[in-house]
Amino acid sequence: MKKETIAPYLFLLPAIVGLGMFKLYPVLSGLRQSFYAPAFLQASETFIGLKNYISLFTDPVFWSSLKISLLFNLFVNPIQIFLAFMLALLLNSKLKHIGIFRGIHFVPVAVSIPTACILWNIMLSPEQGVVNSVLVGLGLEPQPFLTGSKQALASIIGIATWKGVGYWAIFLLAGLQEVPESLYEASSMDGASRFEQFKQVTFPMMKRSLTFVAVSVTVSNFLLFSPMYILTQGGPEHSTNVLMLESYNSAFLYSDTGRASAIVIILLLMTLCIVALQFKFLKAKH
Amino acid sequence: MKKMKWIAVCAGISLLAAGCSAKPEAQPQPAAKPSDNAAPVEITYLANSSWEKPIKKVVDAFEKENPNIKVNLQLSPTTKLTETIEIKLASKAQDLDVISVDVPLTMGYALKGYLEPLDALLGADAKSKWIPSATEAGSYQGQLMAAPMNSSSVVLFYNKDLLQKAGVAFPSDQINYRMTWENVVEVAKKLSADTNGDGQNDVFGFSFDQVGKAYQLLALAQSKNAKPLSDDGLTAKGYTNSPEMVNAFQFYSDLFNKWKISPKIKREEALDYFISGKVALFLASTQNMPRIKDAGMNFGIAPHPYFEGGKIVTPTGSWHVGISKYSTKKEAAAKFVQFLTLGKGSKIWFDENGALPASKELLDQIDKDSKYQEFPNNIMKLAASEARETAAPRPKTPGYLEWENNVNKAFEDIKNGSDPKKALDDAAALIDNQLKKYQSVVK
Amino acid sequence: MNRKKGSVPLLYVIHTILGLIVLLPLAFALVSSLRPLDDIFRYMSPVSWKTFVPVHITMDAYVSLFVERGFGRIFFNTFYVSFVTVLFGLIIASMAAFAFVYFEFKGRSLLFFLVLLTFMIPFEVIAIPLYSLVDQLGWIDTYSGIIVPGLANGLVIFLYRQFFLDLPKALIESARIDGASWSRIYAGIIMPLCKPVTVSAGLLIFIHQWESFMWPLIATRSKDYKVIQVALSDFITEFATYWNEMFAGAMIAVIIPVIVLLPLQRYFVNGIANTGSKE
Repeated sequence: MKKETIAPYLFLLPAIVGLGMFKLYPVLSGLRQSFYAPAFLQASETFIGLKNYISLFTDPVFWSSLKISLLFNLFVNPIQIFLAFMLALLLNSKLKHIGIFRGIHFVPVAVSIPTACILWNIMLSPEQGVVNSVLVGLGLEPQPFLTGSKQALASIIGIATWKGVGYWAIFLLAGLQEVPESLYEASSMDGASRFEQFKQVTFPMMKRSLTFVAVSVTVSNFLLFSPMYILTQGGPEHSTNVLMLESYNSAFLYSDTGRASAIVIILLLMTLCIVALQFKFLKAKH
Repeated sequence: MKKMKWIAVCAGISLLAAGCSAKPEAQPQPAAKPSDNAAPVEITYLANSSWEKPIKKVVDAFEKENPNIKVNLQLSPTTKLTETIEIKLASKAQDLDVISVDVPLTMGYALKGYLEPLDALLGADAKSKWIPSATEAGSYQGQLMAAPMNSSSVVLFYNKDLLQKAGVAFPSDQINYRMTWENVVEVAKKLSADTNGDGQNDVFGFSFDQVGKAYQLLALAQSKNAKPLSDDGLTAKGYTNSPEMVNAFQFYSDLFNKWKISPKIKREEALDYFISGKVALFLASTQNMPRIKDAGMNFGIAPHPYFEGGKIVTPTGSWHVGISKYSTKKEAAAKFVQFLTLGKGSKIWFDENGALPASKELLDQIDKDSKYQEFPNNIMKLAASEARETAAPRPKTPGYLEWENNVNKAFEDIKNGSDPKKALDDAAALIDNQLKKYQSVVK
Repeated sequence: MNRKKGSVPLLYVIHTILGLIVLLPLAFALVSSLRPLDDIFRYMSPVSWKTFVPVHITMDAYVSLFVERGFGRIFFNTFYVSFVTVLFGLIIASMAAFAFVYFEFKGRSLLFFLVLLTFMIPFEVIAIPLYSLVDQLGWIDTYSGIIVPGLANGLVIFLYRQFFLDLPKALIESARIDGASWSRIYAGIIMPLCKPVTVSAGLLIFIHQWESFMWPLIATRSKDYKVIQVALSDFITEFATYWNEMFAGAMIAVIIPVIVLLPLQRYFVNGIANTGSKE
């Protein structure tokens, strides 16, 4: 392609200006904080270099939060990506009234996270919650769900998945619509089974949509903390205290924006590594 | 050539930025500079969104009295007020003049330089016009930083129908015949019941209103003479996890886990459990009264319980108002603060909002007015005497948010069955770690 | 597609079960919104038909939303803000993605990396500097203050880029040979080809703006600019939660976008799949 001089920059201009002003500039001034000690009336802002990072690495709270964040993401991301893909395939079938089912899965998308949390909190309440009432009705033991340190993280994964899968499936569905019918026809003429068809046609053709979904799911889950904030405050027994919640608390409760920014930087580096791997594995060859 | 391109791009950026600000939907900003004394001054007041109706009346009355000051109300939901204040003041924005201050945060805000001292602005005698506990809680280093809008107190509500059904005598509403916690447990056991036979209690004898929140639960420990934090507010170890604290919170744990007389619910659900007849004794702030009354239930009130042989302690503290250090209209702001906390506004606020007043004048009126002798208005009289005689403030520390967040988490864990000692030990260690940063600034 | 006839009823069964899982919690919200406030928790347990069917149906909560709480204005604000953001957001993002895919220029990888970076940064970190910036611009308590900071969205640029990469380059090359200008190629050839992705990108921006809470809360102060999520959070007060109004508000906040956006579904089958021009 011929090298253009000014045209690409003109196309980029509004986006770069917008992102530069309202995202990058505030990020940079926010990140500057990670090299400073908290400022109080008497002590003015002091540059402390990497001290915020060093003290993080010696802080057991940081390590336990890091472990919880990784554990959470290890499960929630593959689960959501896999289920979203399955759902997209299901919703792509040419059934009568498929529009209704697509509509149904769209509904949780429009439920905001706080509302979803409030709803599920009542549903999962250890006292008279609907889910527990059903369990008791079936002769099973009631479960603590969000109030048990062994179940809370899993419960939050469940709630996040309920809310997220329909949303991400929409993007995959858009991708599926772009797979030419002719490719399926050709492969079925070759006598390929449904699974082979998936492997040879659907999956390779979906790589770009999948990359988008995988990256977006990962990024949003690494930054997710409002369900923990609303439902468990990081408990029970710190079992849902993910890094982003720790960062939020540092900024807004613990008056320590430096620590908050340092945590975000570490989170960002981790996300970048994982996203880079995803780009690598899902590189489209066609 | 390359340089030229970059210049062009930069020029484009600045043009676009200028273009953005001139967007048609951008409304002209009201002139912010108090250049002319005669020109009306507009002050912004950040308040809790649930106060909208009563606070509007105060503002209207104030504007009528001061035609050259306009109060711009900014409302934030309760749950996000702290964050909103933090963002606005940390960015040193000048668009906020009067701020609502949750009183335990006074010291923290003062240290961060968010608040303008009020002594000079309100006059030296102002401090003596509120009950001492309220003035004290809103002061830092002898200076008033935030003026009390109102105080608060807690009483024991009970569902008469449920007590009658269980054959339990109604507790007295007289302050001299206070129930002990031991009584409460005994009665609550009788009141708890499994009505549908599934092996789980579905009517409960007792519940706190602010389940898991320090505001209310601290009174348990204080009744056992616990001191939740060191005097300088910088050490938790040995205080937050003292034997008295552990003892009090073992009791709290037993309510849920051993005796099963309290439901393991969240704070937002508590009032509804009482109103729908699932809880018999409900220890709650007087401000729950309107909804309980509206629900048309058959209820009574009694004073806050205490531990046998322990101290009589009730929760207190509430909303204060401060003036932002970055405000450019402090004089006008002070006029409004004066009106709201001591002037005509305080009376309107009390009449419309119904919270327990902090001003001595209003409390005296409650004592004298015959309206407050009869049930259910006598709740105010009960609360007023608690506020004067038994109210114990929460710890004074620059790190109140750190302390509260960690103990609240511990209280939740204890409710869910964690060992009280371990939960409080953990919390104390975490708090101490977070309080370190204040060591150098607090003398 | 080559589905066997026998699998059709099975698919319906799967779809119905999934649909129930998704809708069940919302059914609870719907029922609660039709109950009197003091009844919300009364029938929660034991689970019976009364848990899911209101005994005394009342529309009080819905009436109060519009009469007392001014939800009419709030919905107008939210829609206005969302549509403006979607409109400009789509143009800005698709143009940027177009540049990233069809041009080679200095700093392309760096710029794209920066774009990726922008959506990995949590809002909470930029809240304070952003507030200070928008305050200096004089946009606090204006529509611009809510809208402009969210117009350029890195995630949407990324979404468009992924899609454009799949479009055949030959299409553009032949148009260039025919002498078409870049803006003509962008507006006349590329954009019409990508309706499905534009619909999903629009949806992404719309939902993002519809759900935004913290920024509209701090960037506005008067009621005139209140948006739905901020209004929803008002139902949890210091002393009581107005469950019925909260659920009623949540129901409308769910149903309205669903009704508005469902018709857009038909664009999902209008992609280039049918033109057969994909490589």
